[in-house]
Amino acid sequence: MVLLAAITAYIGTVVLPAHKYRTAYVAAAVVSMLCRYALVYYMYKGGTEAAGTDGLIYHEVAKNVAEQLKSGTPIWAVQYKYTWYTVLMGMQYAVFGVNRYAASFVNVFISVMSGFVLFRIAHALKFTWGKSAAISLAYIFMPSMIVWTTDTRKESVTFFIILLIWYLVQKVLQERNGVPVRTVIHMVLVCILLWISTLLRIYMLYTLGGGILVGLAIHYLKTKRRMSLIFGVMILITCIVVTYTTILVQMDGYHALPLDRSEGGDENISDELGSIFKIIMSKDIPEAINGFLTQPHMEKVSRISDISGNAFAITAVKIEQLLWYLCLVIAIFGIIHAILEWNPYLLGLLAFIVSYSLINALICEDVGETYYRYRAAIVAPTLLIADYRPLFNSLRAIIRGRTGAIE
Amino acid sequence: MKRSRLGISIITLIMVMVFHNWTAVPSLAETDDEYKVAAYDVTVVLNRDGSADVREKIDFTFYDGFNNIMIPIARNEGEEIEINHVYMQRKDKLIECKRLMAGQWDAEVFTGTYSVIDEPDHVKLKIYGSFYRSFGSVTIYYKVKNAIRRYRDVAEYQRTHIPKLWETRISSINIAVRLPEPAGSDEIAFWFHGVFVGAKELIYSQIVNFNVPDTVPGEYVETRIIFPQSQVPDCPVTDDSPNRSRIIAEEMEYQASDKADLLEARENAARRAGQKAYYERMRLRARNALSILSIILTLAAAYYILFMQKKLRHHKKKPIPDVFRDIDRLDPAEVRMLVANGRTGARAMLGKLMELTARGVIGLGTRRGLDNKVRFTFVLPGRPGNLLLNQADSYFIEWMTGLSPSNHEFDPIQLLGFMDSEEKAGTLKAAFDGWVLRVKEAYHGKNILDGSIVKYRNFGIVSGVLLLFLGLFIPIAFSVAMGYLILPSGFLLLTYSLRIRKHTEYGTEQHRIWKTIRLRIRKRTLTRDALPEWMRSCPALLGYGVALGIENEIARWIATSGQNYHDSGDCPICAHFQTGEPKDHGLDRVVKNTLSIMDEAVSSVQDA
Repeated sequence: MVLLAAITAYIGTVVLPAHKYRTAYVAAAVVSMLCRYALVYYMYKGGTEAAGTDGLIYHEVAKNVAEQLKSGTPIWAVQYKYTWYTVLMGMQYAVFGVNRYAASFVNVFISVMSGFVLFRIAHALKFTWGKSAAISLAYIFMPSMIVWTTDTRKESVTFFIILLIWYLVQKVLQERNGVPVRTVIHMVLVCILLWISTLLRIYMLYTLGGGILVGLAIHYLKTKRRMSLIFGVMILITCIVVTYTTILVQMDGYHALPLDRSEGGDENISDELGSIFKIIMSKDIPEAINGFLTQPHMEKVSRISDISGNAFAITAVKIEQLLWYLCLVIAIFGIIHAILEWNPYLLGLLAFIVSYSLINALICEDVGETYYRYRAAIVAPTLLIADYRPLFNSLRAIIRGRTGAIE
Repeated sequence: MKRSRLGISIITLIMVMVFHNWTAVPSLAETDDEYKVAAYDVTVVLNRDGSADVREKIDFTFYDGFNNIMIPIARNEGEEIEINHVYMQRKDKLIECKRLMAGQWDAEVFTGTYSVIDEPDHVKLKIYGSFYRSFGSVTIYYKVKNAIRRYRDVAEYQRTHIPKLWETRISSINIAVRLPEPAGSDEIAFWFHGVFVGAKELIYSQIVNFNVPDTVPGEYVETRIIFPQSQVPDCPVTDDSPNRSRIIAEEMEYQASDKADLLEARENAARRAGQKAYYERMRLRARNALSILSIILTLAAAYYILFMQKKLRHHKKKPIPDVFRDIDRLDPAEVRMLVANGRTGARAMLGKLMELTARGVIGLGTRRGLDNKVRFTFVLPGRPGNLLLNQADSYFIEWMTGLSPSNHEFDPIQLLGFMDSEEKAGTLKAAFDGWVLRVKEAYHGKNILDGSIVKYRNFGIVSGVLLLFLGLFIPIAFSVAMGYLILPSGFLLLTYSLRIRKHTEYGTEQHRIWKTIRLRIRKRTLTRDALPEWMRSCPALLGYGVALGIENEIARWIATSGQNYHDSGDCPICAHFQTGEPKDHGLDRVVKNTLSIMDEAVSSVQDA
């Protein structure tokens, strides 16, 4: 626990650009870790073998995976259920022994690393140091983010991979020296991470892959760099290969799809697809989109079963919800500016946010708590877009008679 | 100060809208019943040992989404409740739920599990599943130990089957209590409490049925039966004294009571139902109003664009002339912006270089690259300040000079040196954008918007942004599908207003003229004499050809007819191609090579 905090502090000072407030930022990141550590102890106060739901289930599966690994089963032949995150946990259990606290601490560490990656992305987008720090601190201190990334759930790793993929994409897009080995490595890493993200959440391939392809297409149209085409082809091939080798194979038993959440799931993929299609058709799409982006509504926060009766938690979630709504509203102006400016990276991110939101709105259960958790994946990208000033400044310049960049 | 005031005002406006949307409107739409119990069937079998085996089948109708439901089971003093089986409906069949460990922290669990929460007066059964906008059914089997109190004269079964904890309307309640043995009707007495309306009957001398049409929050259904104590011989005696008369007296007292709490519950329920109906109506009206508003805003945006178009083109279209000698002089970069929808890029740059060559501001040269391809180079003037240049041209020459300070020669290949780092790319991009900005300003000086048009444009920009905002806000916040219609209209209005100069009379005319020139050159129906004088020289022609995207046609044109015009040999292009090294390469190839280098560099830094 202390070691991970120390490593975090060290990484923070190494990877973050120098600034007079860098130490304060790193200290804040460590404080966010301490908050999560405290939550871990609170959660497991009744024992690690009874607390939690998804987290508990993954813990149980991971123990089984660890046993398989110890008995000599190679990683690629390990039998696991629900999500590949259980294999990651199982590997940890096999090496360091079964300890759910340790697994949670690793999640805490990964979630703070996500904050650092988000900082780097924001900074590479030419945001000021202060704005980059504010975005990443908002992300790591968000109450829901603290909750979702502390237990032995897959969210911490999923969010980290999403941000890492976008960080690597950004590195590739910013590469101006042809296609050096480093960039090739980045591109291959993105493809591998796309596959891993699919193992963690089955539809991530299309949301992330689609977003990246949109970004690359616009980037090519804008810069005519051949590298965008090469990278685009790599992503496309990855999407096709992973669809056949992973998605179609795993879809039958995927637990998070709406009609396949028990042992009595659909018999085959066509049934499964039929079920999903039926669910989508039965939905009021605008309401589903509203639900995904805005649930749990203010008056329903107190009804969230986990926090009902806990005034502090209810207030925290209400404040978070209000800030999220404000963030969404401001993001609208950021979106308009990104479109007018034809910004490849931000439009790629936007395509990811839109596709992820649509998929979840259409296939997720229409339950506020579920939406709340699934939505957490788009919080970081939305924070990157949420700024009204660039649009207002450009328009103000035009209205005042100066020629603007977007004119 | 003004900037911050504007920002604060907008943020305040947004906050007001946010609060309005997410606090006020949803509360209008809020319903007290997000689910209802459509039917509640209870079957109780009383055992000789004083225990009761209970089966409860509860049918739900959900109007919202839940991932768990809570079922309260009342517990009297001294009772023990043992949950035996819990079933839930899934895909037209019942599945048995598994019990979770106590102390579960999170409710986000998989379908088909339940947990039991023990509280002093009742047991709460929390069943996890996907309950949303559909019918759901749950069946619970449990045993109540010590459910019967045995006295000297009678045995008493008193139990609240529908506790007050239910916060919704429950319809069609049927409770059947089967006594251990049949008995005469005079030996059995039964009552129910907590509701005004209901029926009760004894059938087969053994089963007591209670039927209650519905309960509202605040009501409850409690049953009370007394029967011969001999039917429960294995039940421990609670009190070895006669209690029948006491129980009957209690029941008479209950019947005579005013039941004010039940009356109040009914009144509250009626009031809430009225409010709910009102809110539903309001919600529907709000959605309809917003749908209509969306259509109106979409049409208004379309009308405003047409209105602006009408204002901009109040004169009739002038016919395109056969000869273009008297057209306004535009820069190749301006021409490029005209025909390429505001884009500039390398074509504008090369076009400008050629035009400056034609004006004698810069000189032309060629150079063979390592790949054996020949490209143009440009000899820059030593002191550009002495020449008659506009602001954009001066900036351009200075920029070019800055690229090659030592030998006053601009070789396009120098631009490629800016591609290998973010910093250099940023420098090139900034310089290029600075030039484009000045070119735009120069064009704006020709294509002047009068005061009223500026007002229309500014209104269009503000309205366009507002419409785009509403196009995302209305459909998402209020779930109004029609709201998405506003998005394209807002975007159209904004882009139209931003590029309004393209649609002015001057802008349209220039656009038509230059497109016609391009077409006629492509069709070879234009002679040089039909062009303005400033465009006739080979470099100028080539410069405008590059800007118009017809450099190959122009190169062929120059190659075939150039000598006729430049016998004196003062044309730098003709001079080069008649005597110089590039003779064997072809003008079109050299233009293509030069353009390709510049395009690669300029395009590549666009994301810097």
